[in-house]
Amino acid sequence: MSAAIGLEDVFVRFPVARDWRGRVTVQAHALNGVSIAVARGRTLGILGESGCGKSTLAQVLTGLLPPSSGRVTGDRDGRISIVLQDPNSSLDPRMPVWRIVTEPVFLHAPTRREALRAMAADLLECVGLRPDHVDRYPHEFSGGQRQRIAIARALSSKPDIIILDEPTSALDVSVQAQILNLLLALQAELGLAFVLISHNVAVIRHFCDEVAVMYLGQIVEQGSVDTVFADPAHPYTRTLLDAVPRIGTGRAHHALDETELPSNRTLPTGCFFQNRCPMAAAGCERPQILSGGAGGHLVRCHRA
Amino acid sequence: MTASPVLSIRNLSLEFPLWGGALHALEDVTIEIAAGEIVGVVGESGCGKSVTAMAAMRLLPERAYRVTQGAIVMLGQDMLTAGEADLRALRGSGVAMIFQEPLTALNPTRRIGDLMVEVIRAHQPIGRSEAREKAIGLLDSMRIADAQAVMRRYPFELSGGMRQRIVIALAFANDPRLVIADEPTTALDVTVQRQVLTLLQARARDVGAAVLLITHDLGVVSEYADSVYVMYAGKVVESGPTDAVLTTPRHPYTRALLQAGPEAVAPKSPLAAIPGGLPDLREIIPGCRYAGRCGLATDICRGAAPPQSQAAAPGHTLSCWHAEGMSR
Repeated sequence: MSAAIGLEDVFVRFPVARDWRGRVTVQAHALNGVSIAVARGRTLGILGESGCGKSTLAQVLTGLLPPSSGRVTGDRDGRISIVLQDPNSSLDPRMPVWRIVTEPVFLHAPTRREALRAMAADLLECVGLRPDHVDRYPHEFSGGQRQRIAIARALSSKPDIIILDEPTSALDVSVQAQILNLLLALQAELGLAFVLISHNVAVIRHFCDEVAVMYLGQIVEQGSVDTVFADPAHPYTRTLLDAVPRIGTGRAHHALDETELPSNRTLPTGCFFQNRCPMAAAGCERPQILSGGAGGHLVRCHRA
Repeated sequence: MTASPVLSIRNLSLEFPLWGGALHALEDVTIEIAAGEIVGVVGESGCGKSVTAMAAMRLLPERAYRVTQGAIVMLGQDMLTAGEADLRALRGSGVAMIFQEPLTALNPTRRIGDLMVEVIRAHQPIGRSEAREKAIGLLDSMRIADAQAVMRRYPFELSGGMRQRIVIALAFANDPRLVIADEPTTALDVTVQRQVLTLLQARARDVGAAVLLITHDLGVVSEYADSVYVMYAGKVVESGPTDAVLTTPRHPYTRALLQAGPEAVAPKSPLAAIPGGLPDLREIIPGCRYAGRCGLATDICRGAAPPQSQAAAPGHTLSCWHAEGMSR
C-alpha cells in the first residue's frame, strides 16, 4: 500500500508573545512530533479533545500551514480537499450553490459558466441533493443539506484524499447518520482516502480503519480501530473511552478526577499525561516514546 | 413522589406569531418535575426543548410569543401571570438556569469574585465579606482548586470546564429548589463533561434541588436523569422512567433515535438514518407530527393527532396511534 499522504515527525509552534525587539518569548506547542500515513481507500481517525492539536494537524495536511519542522509526504497538488465542521460558516451565503460547489475547479482552471453549472448539477446528484437546486443559496437548505453541499465542493476537484474536520459534530444524530452513510458510499465508489478528525469516539469507531489518539500535540496511541477500542493500552485512551456516556447502564456514580489539560505554552517534562494519569509511577518523569506492540499497535507509555 | 411538584407544565401550547400566520413551537406539552428529581428533556434541534425551558422561566421576549393553552406553575407561582417583581424574586434564588456556553453567561468585564458576590447579595441580605466567604465555599464545592486565586480572575483566563463549574456554583449560590440546565456540557469535552455533570448531580442531591436537564445526548440522559421526556417537533412523544424509555422504547421516534447512533450497527455498515426532516411548524399539521418520517405511518396518522399520554407501563406514556402494536 502506498501512502496517499503522510506526516513525518511534524512539529508546529505558534508565537504567542514577543519582547520589545520582536523576539518570540512564549510559544504554543501545537504539534510535538506527529507521524502518520494514510493509504489510498483507507480511513484514518484522529481522536482527541479540544486543544490536542487535531485541527492544526488538518491545516498541515491541507498545506494551509507549513510545519515548523518535519515533513509532509505524498502527493499534494490539488488532490486534497477538506470538509469543515460548521456548514453555516464554511459556505459563502452570497454565492449560489453552483458557484460554491465548483469554486475549487474554477480557481485551478477558469471554466465556462455553463460547464460549471452542469458539473455542479452532477455533483449535487452525487451527494443526494436535487440537481435543479444549483441556483439556490445556502440559507435555503437545512444543516444536513448544507454539509452535503460542502462534501460536493470537496469532491469537485476530484481529490484522492479528503480531510474531514468534525464533519458531523454540528448535526443531529439522525442527520449525522445520513452524512456518514453518504461518505462511506462515496469512499467505496471513488476509492477516496479519508482523514476523519473528531472528538466523537462512536463516530471514529464506526467510520475508520485506523485511529490515532492525540493528547497535547502528540499521538499517544495508534493502531487499527478494532485493537485500540477493544484493548486500549494508554491510560489516556482508557480515560477518554470511559468518559463517554452510555445508554442503558443505569445511573452514573462517577468518582471525580483531575481533568485540567496542561497548557501547551510550556510542555511538561516527561510524559505529557502524568499529572492526570491514574497509573503514574516511577519512570513517568522521562519522555515517553511511541513504541510498537503486535500488529502495528503503538503506545506512548512505558507502563502499558 | 412528593405532593407538589417544583415545576408543572400542563398542556402548554405556544406559538410565535409570524406575518400572516404563526410558528406552532409547542403543542400540548406536559412536563412535571418533583422535588429533588433529575428530569431529562431530550430531542434534536428544533424539537422545542429550549423553548420549553425559556417559557417556563418566562425568558422569551414578551411580545414575540403567544400561549394558546395550558399553564406553567413553578414553586407555586403561576408563571404565565406573574409580574416582573415576582419573576425577579424567583429567578436566581428559587430557580436558577445554566446555559450551554459558559463564556457568554459570564460577564467578561467582571472578575469572578465580584460577579459571585453580586449574585449572592442580590438575593441575600448579607455583607460583602460574608458573601465572599460564601462564594469561596461554593467554588470549593465545585472542586475548584485555589478558589482565592480564581476569585481574582476574569472569565477569559479560565478553561471551558472551569467556567462551566463557576456557572454551576453561581446557579447554586442562593439555594435554588430547581435548576434548569440547557445543554450544559455540549460545548465541553467528554472527560470534562463527566466532571461537570457529576458535580451538578452531587450538588443537586446534597441540597435537594431538582434539575431539568435539557440535552440532545441520550447517553447523558441515561447516566444522569431519573426520568425523561422525548420531544419531537414541539410535542412530547414519549416519557417515563429513564431506564424504561431507553431500554424498552415504545414510540417509533424514540426507537429511530436510539437506532441512528453509530453504536447501533457494525462498523462501516450503513447507519439507520431517519429519512426526511422536521415538518414545517408554520403549517397546521392535522396528524402526527412524525408521520412524514415514520415507517409505521398509516392514514390515521396523517389524518388526526394521536392521543397525548397513552400509558404503556406505570409512569411510561407515549403519543402514537400504533402504541398497541409497538408493545414488543
